[in-house]
Amino acid sequence: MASFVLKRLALMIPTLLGVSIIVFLMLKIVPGDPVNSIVPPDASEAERAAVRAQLGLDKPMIAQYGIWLGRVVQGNLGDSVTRRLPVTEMLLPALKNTVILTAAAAVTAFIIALVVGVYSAYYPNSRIAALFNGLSLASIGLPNFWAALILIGIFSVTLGWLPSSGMNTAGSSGTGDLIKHLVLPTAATALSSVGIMTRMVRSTVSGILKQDFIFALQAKGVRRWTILRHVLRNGMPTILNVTGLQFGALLASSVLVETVFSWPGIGQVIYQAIGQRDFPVVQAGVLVIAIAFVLLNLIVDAVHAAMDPRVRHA
Amino acid sequence: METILEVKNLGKTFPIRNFIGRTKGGVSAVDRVSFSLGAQGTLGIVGESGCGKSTLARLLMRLIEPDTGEVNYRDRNILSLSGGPLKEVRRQIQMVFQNPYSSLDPQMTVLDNVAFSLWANGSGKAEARQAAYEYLDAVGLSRTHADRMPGSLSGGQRQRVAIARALILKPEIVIADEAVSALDKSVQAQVLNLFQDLKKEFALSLIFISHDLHVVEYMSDEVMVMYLGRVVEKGPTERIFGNPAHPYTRALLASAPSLDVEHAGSGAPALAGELPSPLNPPSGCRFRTRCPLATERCARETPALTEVGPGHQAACLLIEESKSA
Amino acid sequence: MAINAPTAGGTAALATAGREPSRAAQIWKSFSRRKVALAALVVLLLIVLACLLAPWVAPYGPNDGAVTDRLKEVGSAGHVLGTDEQGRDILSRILYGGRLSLLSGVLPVLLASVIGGGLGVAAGYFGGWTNTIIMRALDIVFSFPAILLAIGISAALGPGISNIIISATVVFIPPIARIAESAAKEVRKEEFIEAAKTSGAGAGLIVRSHVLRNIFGKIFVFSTSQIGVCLMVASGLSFLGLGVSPPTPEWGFMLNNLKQLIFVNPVVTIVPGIFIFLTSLSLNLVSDALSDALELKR
Repeated sequence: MASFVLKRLALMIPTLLGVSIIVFLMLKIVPGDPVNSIVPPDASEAERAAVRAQLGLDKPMIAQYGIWLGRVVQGNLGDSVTRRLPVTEMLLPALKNTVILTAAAAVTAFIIALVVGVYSAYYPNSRIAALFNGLSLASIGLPNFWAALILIGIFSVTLGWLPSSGMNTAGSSGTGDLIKHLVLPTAATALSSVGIMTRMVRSTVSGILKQDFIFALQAKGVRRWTILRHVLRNGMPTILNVTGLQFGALLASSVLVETVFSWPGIGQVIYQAIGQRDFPVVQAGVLVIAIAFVLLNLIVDAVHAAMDPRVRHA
Repeated sequence: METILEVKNLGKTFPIRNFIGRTKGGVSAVDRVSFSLGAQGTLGIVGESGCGKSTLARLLMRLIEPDTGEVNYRDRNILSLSGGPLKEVRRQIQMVFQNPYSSLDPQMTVLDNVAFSLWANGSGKAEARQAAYEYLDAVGLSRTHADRMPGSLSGGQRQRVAIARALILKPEIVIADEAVSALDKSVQAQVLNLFQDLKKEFALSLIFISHDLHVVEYMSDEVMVMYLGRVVEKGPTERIFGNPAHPYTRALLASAPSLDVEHAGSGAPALAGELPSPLNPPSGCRFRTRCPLATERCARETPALTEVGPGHQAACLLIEESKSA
Repeated sequence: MAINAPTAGGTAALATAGREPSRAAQIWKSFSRRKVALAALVVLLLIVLACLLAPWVAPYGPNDGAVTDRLKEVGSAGHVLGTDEQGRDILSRILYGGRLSLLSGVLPVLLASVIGGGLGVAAGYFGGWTNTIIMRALDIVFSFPAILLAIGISAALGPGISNIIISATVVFIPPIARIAESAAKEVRKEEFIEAAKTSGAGAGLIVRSHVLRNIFGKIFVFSTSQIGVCLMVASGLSFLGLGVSPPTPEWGFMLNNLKQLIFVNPVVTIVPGIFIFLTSLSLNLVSDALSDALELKR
């Protein structure tokens, strides 16, 4: 198991390098000369050249990448242009909040997908299965930032049950308050993946229900709940794997959802930075989420391998 | 008879690489194969599937690049050509493939499938289509077939289309690689007879590859028997079938379901056991693992082709021994 | 040898089958059997037509409006879908704005199909190092969550609908290239490719006339299924403020703009989203039925 994880970690390095190259190139496609944003408009050519050298912009592209990567590895993601402070200081607390939201959405989506998926696999012709099938199909075309607005419209504005923005009510820091603030963003984030996850659970479970050992158990008169336990034990590695792959989608969709709810996560930081043309912050935010995405996939792989020995030796 | 194609020592080993790309062995698909094809003659190549027949055909066409050897077409070594001259020579050697369901482009009309060969050689659209109609007619397909898609044709009809496509370049040599094996028996007969007729009409030389002894016997003047990439016996058809010298040929004849009692059974036992893997084949004589007559020597020495009759050669140490004794 | 057969020309093989219905007719027959897909197609066509014909169909100009008319309810007289904070008719803005929104859903997928299709075909047909280089490079792009990469590129290039189209194109290249690559790999194994090589055809001609022809269906079906996704990505970017600048109407940005008013008039606020949702849902339903009809179930 340890060697499996090590092997996957080794394979991750080229991926992370590739990701870093793309994020680096993003800075390079920003139109205009970056020097212009630093020197006064009437600066002489010599002053401009000095700034250029100071920023390392006179070096070849590969050297610039090397310098940039060296800083990133040391945790230096540059400084925010508008707020004049290291990007890392802005992003780390935000990352924690994004993780809270994504995790809450993942757990919610997983539980719903499991219950509905198993039910639909057991009773494929029931009305409830048909209803959920239609809903899951519809949810695939549902933009989550719009779903977020609808949720606010219903639960905050019309019914007044839940808060519509932020993470805590001013002056309060209780867990109950946090959960209240978490409900709507979680629902909006989970929505975009719950449909696909439900379909996957349903097809996995219905595949298992068609296998001979289930018939054998039924023939022996084993109780339904015991059979369900067998089904879940057999299906869980696959279910965890396919739903695990949706975590990345959840992470990405949390970015948009955060902006609607002013949830103080990375998405919100990116959104504000876009508005202020603060590109180093956007770049770092993209890099952090992309790395989280790659790590998440690694964890999903490792969990899958831990549960299903066949994967480890394949 | 004038020689049109002469093949010398042709060989191909497919490297097997491990996951970091280092070679860790090879599949010896074709090993030191030599033969010659007379103008307007038919050479039959026979052997079990996996013996390297299809690879041999693809080496002759340079669809696969050989490792060693020469392929001389009218005294020019094809393997040393490239670009324009290669294209010119290639036209002279065409191929009819095994699977009529894969050898025609399903998204092109029958007519365009045939005309494509000419387009590839720079003919105009209309001119190529006109020629394609003529060749479809020559293989017995009408204009109503020409505008259809291959999907609506039977296997036999498709194979006729494939033949028309090969002929439209006016080749001198046609290689038929298991060209009838995918067809029903009755349709096979029609297509074989079509080959015979077209051979006369277009003055073709044929290389007819098949695992089916009856087909090879019916078609060929000369026969070459292959086993695991090597030629084990070759000679005139009547000698190979009437007087087989190599234990493998005898076993093959004995195990073939015979339609003709006279030729069957030279007393040899039918073929037993599995064909060994071409990855690391047996040492010495490759047939020794299934040969009822194998001795210790067969594992050590590789037999060479030796003369056993007029124009008839076989590669077996036992024959060498009995001759020298 | 006992082969006795009719002479060459085998007349038995020549029996002509009755004229079969054309491929397009078959596809339509299978497609139209699915009522939901048919309804989705009608909705889609209505939305597209109404947007294209906005100058004739829309009740008002996109920027016409008086502050006295601001924030009218959905269903009010003269303003079926209400008005925004500047009193502009929302239906009219949706119809005018749909042109840019639909364009930013369709164009990136079209461009990505050409670029990704080309890269995938090259990788799949030539194999070897060409394949390794192209596919590994695309894998890296694929290792980003799609919307995030699009945000990064769009933000770098600066706001503007053309930059949204560029970044969405980049995001959709890898998945389309993967489909094209695996399809081209399949076709490469076919004997008609070998036959074309023996006839002397060069790689260019073989790819143009055999490979593309045979993988077009798969790429088409997959790309169609991506238009709905692309519409959501593009309107998401626009929602973040990366697209049009005011007062140009566009669905994603209208949502962004109206979201400030959610406490004043929640119903009006969510209206533009209905169009994103309906279009994207209809596209998914249509492409799903289309792939069934073409018997290319993914």
